[in-house]
Amino acid sequence: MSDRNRILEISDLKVEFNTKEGLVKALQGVDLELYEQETLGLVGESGCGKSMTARAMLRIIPEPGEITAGSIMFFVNGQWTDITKLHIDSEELRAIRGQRIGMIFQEPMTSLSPVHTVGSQVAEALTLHQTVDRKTANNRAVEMLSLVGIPDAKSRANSYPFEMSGGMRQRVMIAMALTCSPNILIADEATTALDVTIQAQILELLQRLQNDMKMAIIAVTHNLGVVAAISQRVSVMYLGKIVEEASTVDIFDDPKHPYTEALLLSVPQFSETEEHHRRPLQTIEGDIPDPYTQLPGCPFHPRCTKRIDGHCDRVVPEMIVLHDTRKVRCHLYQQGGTTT
Amino acid sequence: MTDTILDVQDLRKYFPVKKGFFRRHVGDVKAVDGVSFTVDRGETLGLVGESGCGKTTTGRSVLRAIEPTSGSIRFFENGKDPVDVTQLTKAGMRHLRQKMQMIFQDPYASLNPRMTVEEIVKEPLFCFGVGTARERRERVGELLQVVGLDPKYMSRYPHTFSGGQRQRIGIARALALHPDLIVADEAVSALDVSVQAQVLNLILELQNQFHLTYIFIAHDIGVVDHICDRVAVMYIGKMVEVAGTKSLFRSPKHPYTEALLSAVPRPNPHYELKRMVLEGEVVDPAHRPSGCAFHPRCRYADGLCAAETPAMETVPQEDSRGSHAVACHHFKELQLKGVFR
Repeated sequence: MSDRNRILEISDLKVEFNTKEGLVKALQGVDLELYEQETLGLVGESGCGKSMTARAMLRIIPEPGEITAGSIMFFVNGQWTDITKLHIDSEELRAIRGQRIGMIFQEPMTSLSPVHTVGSQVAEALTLHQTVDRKTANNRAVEMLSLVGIPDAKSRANSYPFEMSGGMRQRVMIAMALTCSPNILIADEATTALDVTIQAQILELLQRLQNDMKMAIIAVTHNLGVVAAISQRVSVMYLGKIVEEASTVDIFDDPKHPYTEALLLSVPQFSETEEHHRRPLQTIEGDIPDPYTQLPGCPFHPRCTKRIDGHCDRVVPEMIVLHDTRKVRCHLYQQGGTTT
Repeated sequence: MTDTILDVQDLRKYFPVKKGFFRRHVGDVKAVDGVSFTVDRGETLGLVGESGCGKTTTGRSVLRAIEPTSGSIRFFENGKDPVDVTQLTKAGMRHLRQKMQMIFQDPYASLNPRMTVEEIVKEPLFCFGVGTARERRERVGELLQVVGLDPKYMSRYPHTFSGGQRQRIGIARALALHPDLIVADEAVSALDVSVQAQVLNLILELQNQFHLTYIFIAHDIGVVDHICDRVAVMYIGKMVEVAGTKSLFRSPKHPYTEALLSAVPRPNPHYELKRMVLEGEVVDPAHRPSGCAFHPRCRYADGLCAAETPAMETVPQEDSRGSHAVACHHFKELQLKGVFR
């Protein structure tokens, strides 16, 4: 994996929300890298900051959130650009947003304009970023719509979003995100709202388009099944930090962080035998703490079954590199620490 | 010695489609179109299918939260004569509502934000005039303990709780009147996986403790596989296959079940998601295809499937895992793949 070229490097990214109720540290130093043409799964439970990380890359963090530290280096046009340093209204940022980095969201109904035809919405993405006349843009839009598997794309281009099913709308979103052939596609819970049969179609489509268009995908999701199906590498997030990073096979076969391990065990799995049927599932004790509290030490320690009392609740664990593709943020793997 | 608690026969729910200035009746959306099933006391029956297949409408019709168009729903209260839920008067229905409760999907929308937890859980007791004010308060405390919440939070409002805790509040409310049957409609779908596991454990534990019967409506096949004794698969308003969970998921007999199972992504990177070619979308129940409704998407379909609606037939069983029924013309010839292949 490491012989391939990096195209994105996030280091020590911090995002804070200064709200009336208090300061929310949504991202507390996220480090992430992305290689060309790979699919990276970004997983975690609600509030862990996975969507915020994705939004920071496009600088579309909702108010009053702001990036307070860190950098997002993006390799574009033969040079590295720090996305966090770009002015929010600048041409450079507009050129990246939607053109070099595309994004698809969870709810296709709320992300599409209800008063424009889907064809014109796909064409708009093109006319915004490239100097093309309307006719070319419209033709390209139809081409994109048929590429994402919309039957009879030419006439469907004149449909409005409400005339389409959820799966079809999600295809339109994908067509829109891909019209400018981006280098990175961010899929934020892109299949969560869909039925499994349609989800399988969309996942297959994304993989096919990734091969054709040679792009990298960041799949933001809480569905571990989806991650296992499409990504080569996985980053697991918990409360604004990445707690483990590894190849997909390593994450699922040999999770190192107690959180990753517990998360995997809490998903009901099909089992060949009846021994587990209707038996209690493994759970993670307690709830995800509310965002206003700042826990000392490792943020997972109150729920962790392997915590070292007096250490995990005091000292913030550093990211430990186990080998070049595996990193874990846990005291258990510290040299001299106890390993189980 | 099966002890039936619910016997649903030929349940139908049509939503009329009206058009034009005079609101002329131009057709029906057949949300549930002739569904029959039974539920045994103490079991968990799963209802699965894609969105729009009628699983929620079926669940709600059983409680008459939606008024069914036709069909019979016989409910067997312990030690009493069966009653047809669809024929009950308002007063009769009121009595029965104590015995049948519902848990909803969205723990944010199903709790009144202006009521405290105590008021929410107490409301059913109050409606049915159970006990004195003091006894009711005690019962609320008891119920909260049962679902794993600290009774000292009784005076708080729902917004101060997390999604999992709110779902527990909803469960406490459902349990307040000692129901026999609970319809859980996507009860864990909105929860994070770690919390989902906690709530699933609670649902299983309560079943043992209070001898509850569940109708468990869900789209997550993994969850259904884990907690259901039997599963019914629905496709556009009809049941296409009903069987014991293990039998259904290991050796499905309906091509739709096979396709559905093949599309479920597994948390296992060695598993290659090879979904069956299930082209096209879920058909809209207002325009139900002729014959077997699944035939336009089915890879085994032939002329017979388009012409005739298949009836539910019992599958001869190799083992004694209980009955397995399927509505497919070709189930005898087909060798379908289950979750293990």
